[in-house]
This record gives sequence, C-alpha cells and structure tokens, in this order.
Amino acid sequence: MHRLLRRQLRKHLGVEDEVPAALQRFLAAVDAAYADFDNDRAMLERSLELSSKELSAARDKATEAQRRLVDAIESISEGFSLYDADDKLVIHNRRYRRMHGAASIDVVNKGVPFETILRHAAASGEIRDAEGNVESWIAERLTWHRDPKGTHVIRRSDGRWIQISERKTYDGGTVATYADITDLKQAEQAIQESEQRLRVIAEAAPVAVLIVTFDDGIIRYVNQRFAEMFGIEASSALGLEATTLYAEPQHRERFIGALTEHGHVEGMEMLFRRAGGEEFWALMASQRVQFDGCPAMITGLADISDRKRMEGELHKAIWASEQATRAKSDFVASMSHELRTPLNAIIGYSEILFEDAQDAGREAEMADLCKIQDAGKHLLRLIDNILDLSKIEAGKMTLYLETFEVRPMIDSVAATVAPLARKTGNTLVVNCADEVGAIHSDLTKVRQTLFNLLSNACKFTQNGTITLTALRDPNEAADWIEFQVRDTGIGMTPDQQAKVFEAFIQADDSTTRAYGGTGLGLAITKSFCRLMGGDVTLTSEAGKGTTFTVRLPAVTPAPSDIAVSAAEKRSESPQVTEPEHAPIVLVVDDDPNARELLGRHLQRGGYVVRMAGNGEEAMQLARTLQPDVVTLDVLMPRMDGWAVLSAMKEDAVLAEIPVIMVTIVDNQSIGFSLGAADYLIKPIDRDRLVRAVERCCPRDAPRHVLIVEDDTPTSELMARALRQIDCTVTQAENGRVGLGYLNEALPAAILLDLMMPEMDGFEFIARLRAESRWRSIPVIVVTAKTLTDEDIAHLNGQVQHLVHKGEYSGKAVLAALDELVPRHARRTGSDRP
Amino acid sequence: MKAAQYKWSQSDGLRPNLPAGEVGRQSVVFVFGARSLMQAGDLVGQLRDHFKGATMLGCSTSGEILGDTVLDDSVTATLVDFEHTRLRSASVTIGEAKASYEVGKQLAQLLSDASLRHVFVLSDGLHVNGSDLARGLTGGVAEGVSITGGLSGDGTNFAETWVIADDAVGSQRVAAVGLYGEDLRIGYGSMGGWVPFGPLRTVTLAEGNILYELDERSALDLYKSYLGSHADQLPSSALLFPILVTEPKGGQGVVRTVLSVDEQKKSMTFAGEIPQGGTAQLMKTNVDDLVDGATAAAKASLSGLGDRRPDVAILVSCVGRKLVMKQRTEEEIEAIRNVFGTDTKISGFYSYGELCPFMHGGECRLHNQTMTITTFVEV
Repeated sequence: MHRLLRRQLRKHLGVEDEVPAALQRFLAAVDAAYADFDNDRAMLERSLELSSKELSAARDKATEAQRRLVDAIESISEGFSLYDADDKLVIHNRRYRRMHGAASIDVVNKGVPFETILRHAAASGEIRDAEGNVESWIAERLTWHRDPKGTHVIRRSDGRWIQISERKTYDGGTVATYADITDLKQAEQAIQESEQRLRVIAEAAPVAVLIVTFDDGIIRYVNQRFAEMFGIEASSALGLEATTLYAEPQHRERFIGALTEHGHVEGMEMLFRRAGGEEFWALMASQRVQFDGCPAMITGLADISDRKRMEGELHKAIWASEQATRAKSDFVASMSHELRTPLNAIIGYSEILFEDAQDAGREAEMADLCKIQDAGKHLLRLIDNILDLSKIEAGKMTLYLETFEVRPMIDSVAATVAPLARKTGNTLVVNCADEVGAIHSDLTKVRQTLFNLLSNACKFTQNGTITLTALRDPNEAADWIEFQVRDTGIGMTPDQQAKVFEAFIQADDSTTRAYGGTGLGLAITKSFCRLMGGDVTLTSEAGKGTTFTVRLPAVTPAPSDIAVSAAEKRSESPQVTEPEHAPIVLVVDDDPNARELLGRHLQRGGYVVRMAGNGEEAMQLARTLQPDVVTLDVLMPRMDGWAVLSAMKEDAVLAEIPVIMVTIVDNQSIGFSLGAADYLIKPIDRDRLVRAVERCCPRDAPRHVLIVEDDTPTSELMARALRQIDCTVTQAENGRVGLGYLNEALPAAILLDLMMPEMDGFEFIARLRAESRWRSIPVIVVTAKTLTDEDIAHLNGQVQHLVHKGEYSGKAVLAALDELVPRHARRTGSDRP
Repeated sequence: MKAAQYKWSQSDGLRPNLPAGEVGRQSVVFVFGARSLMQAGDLVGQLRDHFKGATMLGCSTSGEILGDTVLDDSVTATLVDFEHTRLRSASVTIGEAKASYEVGKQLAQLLSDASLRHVFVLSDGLHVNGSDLARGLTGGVAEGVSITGGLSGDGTNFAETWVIADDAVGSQRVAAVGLYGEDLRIGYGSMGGWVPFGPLRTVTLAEGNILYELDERSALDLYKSYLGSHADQLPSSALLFPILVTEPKGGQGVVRTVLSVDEQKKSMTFAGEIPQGGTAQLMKTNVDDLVDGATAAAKASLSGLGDRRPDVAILVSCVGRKLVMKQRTEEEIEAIRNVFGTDTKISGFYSYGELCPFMHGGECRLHNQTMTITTFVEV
C-alpha cells in the first residue's frame, strides 16, 4: 500500500492494516492511482533531466559550431554579412565593417537595417557610383539586394572596387560576401590599356593582322588592313571560320601543322581568297598566343600578289630563254654535224688526190689540192671554234679534270706546231724543266690553249724565234703553273692589245686578210684559262713581239660534283684494256719522260708495252718477258745501249728479238753493225716509230671491219683508208643494215656513225650489246655530233673508242683500230706474265 | 435518426435485452469489443442474426467507449437507424504484396458515387501503413467526400487486431461504410494535447514506417533511456513518448506512435511513415492537457453541424492516451459530454491510430495520440 494512503487511513480512519472489506476495492484503486502518480512523475522528471542534459550538450555543440562559424567568417578574405528576413544585420565580420568609411562604420551593428547602413554610406559620399544621384543609386542597390542575381561591382570613393555577391537564405534573409577586387581591377585596366595600345599598333600596321582561336578555328580579331585585303567589313569577319579565307584547304592544314610543330611560323606563302572571289598570294607569319584564356594564333599577312606575278613572269622569261638557248644549242650541234660531214669528205678526198698527184708528180695539181685542203681545214677549225664559243656562252663548257705530266704534253704540242713554225721560217724553242712535274687540269684544254698561242705566234712572226716556257710557281698561298709563249713578231699597239681577247676581233681587219684565222682562238683561249681557274695575259710592243702568259692552278678545283663525275666517266671510257695476243714491246730508256712518250705511242699502236729504266733491268725483263721488239736508248748510265745490244745478241734466248735503237746519238753504222733491226733518231715521230716496230713484227690475216655510216663519201673514205692497211671492209648505210650483216659474219671491229636514218648509232649499240655473240666486238664511234654528257653516259662502257670527224679523224680511226685489234699477233707463243 | 446501445460483459451478459422486431433498412450497427471476448463466443454472429438487414461494422479495441464510460473486456453495440440517409458497406483484405495505398483506394472506389457524403473506415491496426491507407482512400473518392475512422486495437498486446465487416470477422481487413444523401450533417475533429520537448532530432535512417536512427544514434536505445524501468513494457510503454515528425521540406508535424520493436534489428515500427531527412522530437503530456485536447476535438466536430447538437458521436481515441490517464481516462469522455450535452449517443473505442482530416475540409490523414470524433445529425 502506498505510504501516503497508509498514513491517511491511520490518521483519518484510525485503522492500520485491517481495512473494512467494503472499502477494499476502493482503497486498491486509490492505492494504484497513488503508485501511478509517483511512477509517472518519476518518469517525467527523468525525461526532463535527460532532455535538459541533451539540450545543454546540444547547446554546447551549437555554441562551438557558432564559434567556428564566426571564426570562419572572420577569417575569409571577403567581407561577410547576413541580414534577416526583416533586413536587419544579424551576422557580419570585421572586414565587412571596415569596408565602410568613417561616416558609416559606426552604423554597422547588429540589428541595424540594411537600408540605414546603405544610406549613411551613400549620403556621406563614400560610394563613387552614387555621386550626384544618391537616391536613385540607393533605389537600384536595394533592388539588387532584395532580388539578388549574380554579382555586382561598386566603386568606392577611396578608389577601391568591391564585388558584392548576394544570395537569399531559406528564411528570407540575405547573405552576402564583399570582395575587394581593386588589384584585379587595376591589373585589368593595365591589360586593357596594353590591349588598347596593341590594338592601335595592329590597326596602324601595314600588314593584315588576325587572331584565330585554335580549337574552333574562329576569327576573333582582325585589323583594318585585313578588312581591306580581304574586302570584308572587320565586324563581319569576326566569328567567321578561318578556313574560309584560304583558296586551298591544304594550305591551311600545312600552316596549322607547322604551327603545331614549331609554335610559330614565318615566311610561309599561301593562297588566299578575297570576298569577291579573287585569289591572291600572301606571305604569313604566325605565333601561338592566348586569347581570352583560350589557345589562339596571331597571324600577320602581307599581300605579295605583285611579287608573285613578277616571279611568274620572270620564270616564264627564264623558261623562254632556256628554250631559246636549247634550240640554239640543238641547232649549232646539228649544224656542226651537217657541216663537218661533207667537210670531212672534202678534206679526206683532197688528201687522197694529193697523194695520188704526188705519186704521179703532178706538181700543179698538188698546189691546187693543197689549197682545197687548207680551205677545208680552215673551215673546220672555224666551225670547231664557233662550237666552243657557243658552249662557253651557254655555260656548257665542262672541264674534264685529270692528273698528267706537263713535260710530255709540252713535247707533244711542240711536235704538232713544229711544221707550222718551219713553214714561216721560225725557230721553236722549248724551255721546260723536268721538275715541272704533273698537274691536275683539263689536258685537252691546256693543249688547245698552248696550241692556239703557238700557232698564233707562228702566224704573226716571220723568220724569228718562238719560245715556249713552262714554269712551276709554287708560292706560299697556292701552287701555280705558268706557260709563256714569246715571239719576235709584229707585236701589237695598246689599242690592239685591249681588243685581242674579244671574239671575232683581230688586231685589225687587214690582219684577217693578211694572216687568215678566225679571230676566235684568243677569245676561246681566254675562256678556257678562266674556266680552269687561271687567266691569260699579254705584254706586247708593236714591231718587237708579243708575250702571252698563261697562269693556271696546279690543281684545278672541280667546278661541281656533276663535272667531276662526268670526268670520271670519261676517264673510264677510254681506259685501254691490253689486247690479248698483242705483241710486247720493251722500251728501254733512262729518261722517264721519253719512256712515257714512247710507251704511249706504242700503246696507241696496239702493242703491249713494258719498260726498263737501265741496262741491267732491260736484260732481266727481256729474259722473263721474251718481248717481240725492244726499243733501246744509247746514252744510259753504267750499262749503255751498245752494251745491252751486244749482250742481247750474244744471248741465245734473246738474240732473235729485233732491237730498234731510239736515240739522239746519230751513229747508225755502229747500231746496225751490232745487230740493231732499225735506227731512229730523237725526237721521235709516232708514225715512224710505229712503222718501224711494225716492220719487226710478222704479218697477220687481214682484219675485217664493218663500217656503219649513212654518208657515202665518208664511208668510202674510211673504207679506202682501211684497205690501205690491209683490212677487209663491209659497208652498211644504217644500223638496221649493219645488224643484218652481223647475222652473216662477225667483223673484228665496227666503225659506227651515230646520226643515221632508220636506226641510229645509239639503238644499234643497244641491240649489239643485247646479243651475247656480238657483245665482244669492239666499236669505234666516228661522229660529227657534239656529244652531250647524256650521250656520253649512254655510250659509256658500250663502245671502246670515240673519234670526232675532223682534221685528223682518218689517222685517229686507224690508231684506234690498231689499239683494239692489233695488226700483229705475238711472234712467240709464250704467255705474257 | 434513432440510436440504441447495448453492452455485453462476462459478468452481466447482454444489457439491455435486444428489442424485438426488425430494424430499419438504413441502419448500421457499430460493434467494438475486446478481441478475446469476440473470439470466445459467437457474439458477433448473434448480433448479425438479430439485426438482420442492418449494416454491421466494428473492430477489436484497446478499450470501449459507451456513453460516458470507458470499458475493458466488453463488447458494445450501437444501432443507428437513419431516416433519410442511405448506407453501403464494403471491405477489402490486405494481401502480403498489397500496398496500403492500393487497399485504401480500392475500398473507396467500391463505395464511391455521386451522392457519397462520408466514409467511415475501420482498419486492421498492425498490418497497415496508415498514412498510405489514408492517401489511398482520399484518392478513391470525389473531392468533398470526408473520410474518418481508425485503426483497430488489441489492448496493450499489439498481437492481432480484428475488423468486423458485414459478412466476416478477422484480421488483415479494412472495412468501411459509406453514407449517402443530402439530409446528413457530418462533423469531425481530431486533437492530441501532447507537447514536444527536448532536442529536435534528425531522422538519419528510416524506411517507410520503420525507424532505425535519430541523429545517427539508435532510436530504440534513445527510447529505452527515456523509459527507464518502463522499457520492460515495450512496445506499449513507448506510447508514453510519441514523436512529432516533420517532413524534410518542413510543414506541419504529425504525431507518431510505436506499433512494435525489433530488438535484433534495433528498429521501431510506427503506425505511419517516418520520413528520412525529416525531424523528430519526443513528446510528453499530462491528463489535463489530454482532456483539453478532447474538449477541443469535440468543439471542432460541431463545426459541420450548423447549430445542431450531434445525434450520434463516434469517438476514436488513442490507446496511448489511455495509458497516460489510466483511472482518469473517463475524464476526456466527460469533457466531450459536456460539449455535446446529454442527448448525443456516444460510442467509440481506444485505437492504434486515428483517421481524420487535420481541419474541416482537408484531406484525411493518419493521426496518433489524438481524440478523433465523428458526429452525425440528420436534418
């Protein structure tokens, strides 16, 4: 029973435990009510205690959270304010407060309406934007504030810029941040000013300037010059795709590619299109830049249409001029062929007739024939000179550089000129030291230079002396060779000297009549010397004589790789392979120059040459080689020629070998008495030497030669010459006929013209070399055609010899034939070592 | 409109005796009683046989209200004989998969027609989401049709609740009577008398009507600490601390009470939805506040009746109120009687949930811990 109920029963009814039965149910209900009351109160108190604990914990948390929030709000770099739904200031940070000026800062307090603070600030002139229109500015500012959208920037009178960002809260309040963007604004202004400056520069620039964003290719900026260049308004160019500017889409691709790779592009030329459709060329330079934060390119364009047009016209003119030059060259080349071929016949037949007349002693005829020959030769020289000159003019004269000994070259030139000098009663003196050595130059042109100067000297000197001097002048800087041709002839006045190297000009017109000549020789000479890196100069005195001085570098540098390779090809083609079974000649001489000269003559004559520099060596080689013939010098140190000759004749193995004495010692009787087969006195004439050696070798079966030549007189001329040296001859008038003959018989050699109807020489050679059984037949090309490098390349390796129709062509052909197909087989059967 | 009331108890049997003769065609018998008694004899069957032709609607309770008294372990029957108003009843069983919303909608549609004025609903008290049921019912009737009712009770056992329809008695059932016609005036009012206390908590984990966590702490643990020694009597003792639940978006809070707890899952099942992300606050009350709430509900229920006093009033009061008031429970009935006067026939029961609009003309909602009154008068 509840304590209270028990007490109440005792107090009011005087009962302890024995409750009257009638009251028991009632008292149980009362007891239960008391207990329920206590229980419920206990539970309620408990729950209140619990909840108050929870609430105070929550309050602590809230306080902590608020402290953090206040901390956070204080530490942000912006001003912060929160106005409640009644627009009264609830929370703000110090920064917000300090953004206000002296007149309004004290108003910034909790509970103060937004408008009040705003009015204080605006009315006291703190806001630059509000100056002069305070009320309307306040109204505007309140409108933003009540319905905030995005951010606003206000300018304060102290020069600061404040960016305000306002938002509504759930409960209708307004939260705002205030950022001081003064620095940003100043930087922005600086950028704007700098941009303005750049814009002014770009606008004033004489080139078109445009900026295109990289990712989308859209034009973002153009200057006035751009608008003019492309014929569109600057404003309507903006937003266009840059591709529309290009006349050729691949130009833009190329440009973008280069720009992507290098980051900038300079000097690119591209074809653009104006608004009117007209295409034009522009020179462009471009650089990658940033534009509004996007990767872009700034490009400058200069209209180069005029330049391009001029270039085009220039190209056309150059092309036309090249065409004309080519036509001229072709014309000259074909003319040379057309002129040389009949001249060749004229000269050749007049030679033959001259020999016939000589044999028959018809003196008057001989003189006439001589005139015909001279006239023909003059004409031929003239043609050659004109050809050379035209090549020089066209820049097509090429050098064929090789290394050669100077002395033999001088001797050879002297030998050639000697008859001419004798004809005008002149004495030819050669001063050439052996030490002059070898030079690297164009042998043919050096020879021709010297020949021109010497024949010139002979022409203008009567009964005088012509001196040819060769000097090596190795000074510090470079190695030079100097040739001097001095005469004691008529000489030249200074006026004449000034003009002497000009083409088609001689000292005066009367000279031509008096002395003949083409007037081209000296011009060509000068050009050759210059071409070889040197020059020719002269000193002269009228009536006393003239001295020409040729200075050439000892090593002429190759003009270009092409010329070098051409020279190499050329040096390959005449490479003489020693014919098998050709007779061996042992040349014995202590003078290397003499040995060299003799050797060359004999090689050209179709012999295999071996050399010995002294008597002992000669004996040794004679035993091992078993030569067919020996040429023997007399004056040699230690064992002289006589001793060698005696020793050979006493040696059983060597006694049968014919020995030809080649010497300056004029004592034939001793030679013949010691058993010499022949006796020749130096200087040696090639023909004499070859004939002498020939006489010592046994005869062979006649050589069979096929002549393929369309010009009948030329063909006949060559056939006659060949028959004279005991060859049998077949003539074909073109390549096709020639091939037909080859099917019937195999000739020992073929003489081939290049320019022929039906099948020309080039095709003939191609077919000949394609057939295995014809492949080994040696071919000597005899042509009046001026060969191009291309022609030479075609012939290279396919033909064994190349002979130009001309003055000495007959002899050259025969010499070539001898070289390739020896007249004589080896007397002895022994193999060559 | 005429009404007669009868009571059956173990000691006295049925008093008064049932009248002889047939009942009128527009009659409804409201039957409220303890499940154990309804189970024992075929009392419901007897009543149905006797009042042949009348519509029968009722349920098991956590206490019956008859006149000015609150009863336990009895069965009451109130016969209401309408003069002009037409009646129609319907019932739907709750399947496993059937959502409460669908059940409500289906039931309402069975009754709906152009002259429907009001739907009075009695539902199983344990196997239903009362919030969804209320929405379903509202969705099934035309605008302007009012809906009231309640969720049947099972003492403080929370084991099984029954609903009595015309032809069936049992659990997992929702039954309703539709009232039709222009001559009927209907009033309703629903008031609690509870006040929230302690911190406002956030519902951090909940699913439908199952609550797991408040402020990321177990809700069950929180209840236990507040209940102290009363924790032994869970789930009924949890009725002492209903919670005021507010949607995440705010708005008016609703009061929710616990139906069951799961110690394994540390979960609490409530009579209606507990929205995750919303707020919850414990509530407390005392007898005086509850009585004031009942008075306010009674006054509100007069607003639909013009100047008339109700002929009949059906009271649905929450079992939680009875647990708080104990021996003083009848004080809230007396307070209502004071408002209505002596002519009104009062019937009703203590429930596991109440159905009624928040205010006159609003949509029907599930309530907990309220006194909900529906009044009728014919003109």
